[in-house]
Amino acid sequence: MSDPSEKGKPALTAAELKKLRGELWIIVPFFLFALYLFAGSFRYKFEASTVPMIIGIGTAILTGMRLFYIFFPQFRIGEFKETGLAGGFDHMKEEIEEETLKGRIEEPEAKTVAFADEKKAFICIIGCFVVFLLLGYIVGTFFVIVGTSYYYGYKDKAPLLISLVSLYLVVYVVLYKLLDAPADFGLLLEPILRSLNLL
Amino acid sequence: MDQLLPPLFAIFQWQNFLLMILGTFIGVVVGVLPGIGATQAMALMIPLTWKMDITPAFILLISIYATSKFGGSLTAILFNIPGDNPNAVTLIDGFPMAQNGQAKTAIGASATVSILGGLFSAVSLLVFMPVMYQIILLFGPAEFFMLALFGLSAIAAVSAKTLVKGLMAGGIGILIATIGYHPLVGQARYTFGTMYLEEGIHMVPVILGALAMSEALILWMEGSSIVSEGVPLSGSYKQGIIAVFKNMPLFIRSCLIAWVVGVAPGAGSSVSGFVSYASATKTCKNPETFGKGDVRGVIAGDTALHACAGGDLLPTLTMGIPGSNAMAILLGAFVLHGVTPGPQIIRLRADLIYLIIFTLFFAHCISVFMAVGFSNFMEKLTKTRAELISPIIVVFCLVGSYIMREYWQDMLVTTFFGILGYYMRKHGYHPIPLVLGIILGPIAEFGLFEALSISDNGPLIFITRIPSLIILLCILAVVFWPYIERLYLRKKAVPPAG
Repeated sequence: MSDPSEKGKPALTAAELKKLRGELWIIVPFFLFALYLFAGSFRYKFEASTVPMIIGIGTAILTGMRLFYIFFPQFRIGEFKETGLAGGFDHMKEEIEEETLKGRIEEPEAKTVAFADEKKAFICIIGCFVVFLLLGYIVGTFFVIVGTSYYYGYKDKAPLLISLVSLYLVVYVVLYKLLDAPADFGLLLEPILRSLNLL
Repeated sequence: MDQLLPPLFAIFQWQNFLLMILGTFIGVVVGVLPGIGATQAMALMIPLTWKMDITPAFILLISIYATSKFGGSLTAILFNIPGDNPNAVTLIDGFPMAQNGQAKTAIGASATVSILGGLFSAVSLLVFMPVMYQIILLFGPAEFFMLALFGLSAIAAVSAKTLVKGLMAGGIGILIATIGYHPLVGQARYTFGTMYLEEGIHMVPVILGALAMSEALILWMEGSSIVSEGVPLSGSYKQGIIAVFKNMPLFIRSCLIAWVVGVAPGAGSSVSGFVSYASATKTCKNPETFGKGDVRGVIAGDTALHACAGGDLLPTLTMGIPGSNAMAILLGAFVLHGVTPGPQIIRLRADLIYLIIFTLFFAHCISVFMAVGFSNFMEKLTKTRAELISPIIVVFCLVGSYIMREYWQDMLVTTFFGILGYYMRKHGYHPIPLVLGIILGPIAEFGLFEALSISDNGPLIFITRIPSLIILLCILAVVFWPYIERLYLRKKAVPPAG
């Protein structure tokens, strides 16, 4: 019988463990979602319940195993290191690349993405959604382009103007005028425009 | 011939031809622009094609798909930086050629193989289509279900580096697709009493969020633009064209390699380019000149990039099994326009397949003239900053998700899947299986009950019919391949007893 203390020895470094724990942002919602859909499937008719039941339990088992591995990596259950065909092809490509390129590509230095960078981008994307929700896409497009560029410190007027003009060509002329996309001025702007009899 | 001519005429109607030029322009531009490729561009264009007829819609999408690689070759030759991942193979010999004062020769060779590779792709599809049609005539509902399942399992196995992560993402995609009314019994599932969820989560907001918006987030976080100075355009285009015709056996060999690699799900143009290049270095005379500015290197690599499109499209169009990420988006476009991907297309809409084949070839031709003609403009594009590209992607995503159904909740879904897609990529869960689960999940579910309803033996229909059994075995092989391979290698490693 193997020594339990030896078996329980973590094989991962602190950095690897931290990276693995980051997966919780994906695995926990996946696990809960799959479990919920599996449990909920019992109240539907046979035809409606079969797929969510089978796929739900299958996905819940896989994500559950992965969750177990994240908390207890020493047991190796749910490690799932088997590469699919993509892994095989990637390996083949890397081998040939190594053989042929020999560092010929000017690889730009990979930037380490810090939590602050992520936070900034998420705020930006949620801000864009809120702008579109409140002002609609016709007006919102202007604020999204200008606002996010300034937020990221990009203030070159000529490229900004070019991208604004090209986007309005697509959004206003092509979509709204030619393809009859719906008129939308958002939850905030529409009542204001209506009260001013502009709509 | 009756089926061939109408699509050919359709392409040359002025509106469709203009769309092909527009699609080609978009394809070349996204090929040049750092951080965005054909997959994202096709995803962004899907909502814009929603109100179009199916013919112009597919002309636009296929033009983008076919032409992005040539734009990437230009940046590889002139700037030593590939516009997209597959173009890494072009720079091995393309950039040294440019440094040696032969930039135009390299571009000429690349342009010629782009046109000829496109022609090869189109012809190979034309040749294999009748063969596939005969095979597909053997298929019934049981096989349709199995094919949908094969499409799901294949992309899950190939898109993620870890097989099980791909399967997990695919499973979540299918589960998301079960939200809303069941297609056969009409029972509402997991709606929480909300009207929005009764119609289900539409695939377009998910595609836009998971594939395009997540890319915008990455661009914001990492930032990217080509900052190095380009090499001046020198040499002669004519020499490049002549070089291709002088190396015809190499061109043909590269086409064949690319086609075979293209058919294998997941391999795509990136792998085919390198395999073809490696083969050229081993089979050509004077291999020591490869990597030092040998035009044969550009011919071998670039031919494969363009010739693999035929192999990539064949399983997608005839069986609904996507060979690459861009093909998964194409399947989504089919569903959006009311065409069920898979054997039904070749049975009911063969004209559409011929349209795709012709577009593939003509778009390749236009892209070459466009990219060479506007090379100065392309050079300026390579300097575009991520801070400018990201908001444009975000606007397209949010507008696209809203105009489909006019629900603000769809914009919320796009934003949510944008953030989810970013985290999935970060932790090795590629979002493509998730998207494909949403696209193919309902088709598989419908096929399952359709097959069961005509079966006298219940679920045994899936193993008693030979074509269905063969597809099932293929699914098992794809999913369990890593385990089979490991067993085989372990067995091989054990020394014989005694």
